[in-house]
Amino acid sequence: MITVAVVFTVLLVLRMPLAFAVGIAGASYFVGSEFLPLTVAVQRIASASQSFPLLAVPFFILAGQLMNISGITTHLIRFSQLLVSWISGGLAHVSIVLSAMMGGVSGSAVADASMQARVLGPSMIDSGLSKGFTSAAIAVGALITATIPPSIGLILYGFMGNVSIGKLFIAGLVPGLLMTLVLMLAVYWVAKRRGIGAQSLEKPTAKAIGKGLLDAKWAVLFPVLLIITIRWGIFTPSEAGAFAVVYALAVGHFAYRNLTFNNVFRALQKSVNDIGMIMLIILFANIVSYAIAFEQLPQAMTEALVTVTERPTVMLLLILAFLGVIGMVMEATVIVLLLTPILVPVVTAMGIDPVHFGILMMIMVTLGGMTPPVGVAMYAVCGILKCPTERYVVESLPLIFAVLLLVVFLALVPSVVLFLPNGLMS
Amino acid sequence: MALIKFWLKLERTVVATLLGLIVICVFMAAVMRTVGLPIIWSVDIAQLLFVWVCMLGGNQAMHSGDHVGIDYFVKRFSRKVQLGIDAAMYALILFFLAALIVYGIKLTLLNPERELGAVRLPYSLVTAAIPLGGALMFCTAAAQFVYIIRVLLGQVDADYSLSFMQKFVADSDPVAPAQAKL
Repeated sequence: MITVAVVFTVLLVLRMPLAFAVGIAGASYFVGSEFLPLTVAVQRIASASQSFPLLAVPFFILAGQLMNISGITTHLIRFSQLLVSWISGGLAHVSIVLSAMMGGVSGSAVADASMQARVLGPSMIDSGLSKGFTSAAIAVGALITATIPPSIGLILYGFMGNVSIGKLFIAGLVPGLLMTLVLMLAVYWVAKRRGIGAQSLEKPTAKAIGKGLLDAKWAVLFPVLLIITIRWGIFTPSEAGAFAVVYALAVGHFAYRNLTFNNVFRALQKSVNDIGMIMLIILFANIVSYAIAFEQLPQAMTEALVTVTERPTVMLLLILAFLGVIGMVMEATVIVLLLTPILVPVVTAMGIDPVHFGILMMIMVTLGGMTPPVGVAMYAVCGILKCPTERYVVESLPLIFAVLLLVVFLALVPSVVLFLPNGLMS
Repeated sequence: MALIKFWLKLERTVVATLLGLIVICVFMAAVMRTVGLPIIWSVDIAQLLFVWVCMLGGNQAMHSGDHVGIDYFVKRFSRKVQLGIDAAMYALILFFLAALIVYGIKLTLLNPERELGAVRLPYSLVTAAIPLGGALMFCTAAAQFVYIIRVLLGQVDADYSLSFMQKFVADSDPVAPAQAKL
């Protein structure tokens, strides 16, 4: 197992594509073992591809692409602007609220961050926000997408850790909304200190909000439908994914009249690349997870950790801190795929609810994508807006600090995360 | 060259169509079950197509240079060193894909009687996607590997606008860097 870890680390440092770094490291375990034939490794790839929960991944990637061409995104931007651009900090709030609403249909923080950097970023800078602060608000704000259902990260966590994806989805709702609030407070605090004004001068009237809501109703309705269908067992999360695709198509065609056969097909083709990239990582990671189970790594890890502390809360905070550090140097999907099979048995043995842990883990590892040295969302946004990393880092500190405070709060008070899934689904 | 371009376009169209079919299969199964007329084969077909979308999509992503790695460390080296490291990585990838093809074929032939869920189709239709997708990726990786080697040997002038060459372009260089995904 040490060989696997060493091979993996060396390959990563040398810029091996993530999928192949995972695959080759996993294969090295089989090559080094006398009684494990390599056909078993290939079998692991085939069996992962036959898992129904994983089908949700391509669906939500495709739904995210379709949102942009169907006009759902445009309507959501307009509505967010109406709602919050009057608060000090202006468009930075719009970006954060938009992440929360986009998160209700799309499931990827990086996709959300790069979309916003392209669509909203330039007008944010024009409105007087600094480049660094604009990039930070967009990148860190995208973290909300990772917890608000549907979240691709949570699908993978549920798949690898054998935890109900439906429950995880519903559990992500309250933390996602709290994060929206906390980030808006942080933006407000920064804006007030610097004397950054609002974007529009007056508060929208209740009538204007009602009108805006009506205008954006199809886009806003989707997350509600998602929760309802999953809660009442009408759809499994994967079926809800297919529903999301059909929904985006229907809204784009019948309500907003934006779709042509050609741009739908182009969205399909674009999604194919993203799906191929992410699915290859997932399938190859299944080779490694076999090695992890074979070596009984979770058991060994639990025994080692119990000697450090026996208090579950302290343990939870320690594991989260560890995940935060790993998240800084590793891509989030890969961490979830490799560490979930180890950590879920560990936390369950400690009496921590795996649904509670999943939400916190997802926030911590995704946050790593917003920090250097390895921050996919950060590089995406800074690349598009041409923002130097140092300026981004300074400006993102208050936002990251706010998120960390929220994580500690959620870790100490599990019922905030769990009351909704436990109350709705028993 | 024209043939390769045609093949790529064909593959792209096929995968996009398969992806659309998967959506239809799963959505239809869910709707029909809700109205009380379940179709059992629909989801099985979706699962079967899914493995093909994954493997063929993996090849498409490789063509476009979308399989990202962590470039934090390597970016510090000169372009020549980077090309050298990448050639070594490509060699490893080719080795890995060759193993995938060989053992994938073995696995496909191992158990010909096994059937796929409720549809009376052989399970080997699923496993066959792995060696076949692996072979396509092998071709793609081999072509990119040869190109990089030829650049290193000075036989061709590097064209950094090629999608898989864009990782060698630093942010400060005039050519726009590949946009990060994932």
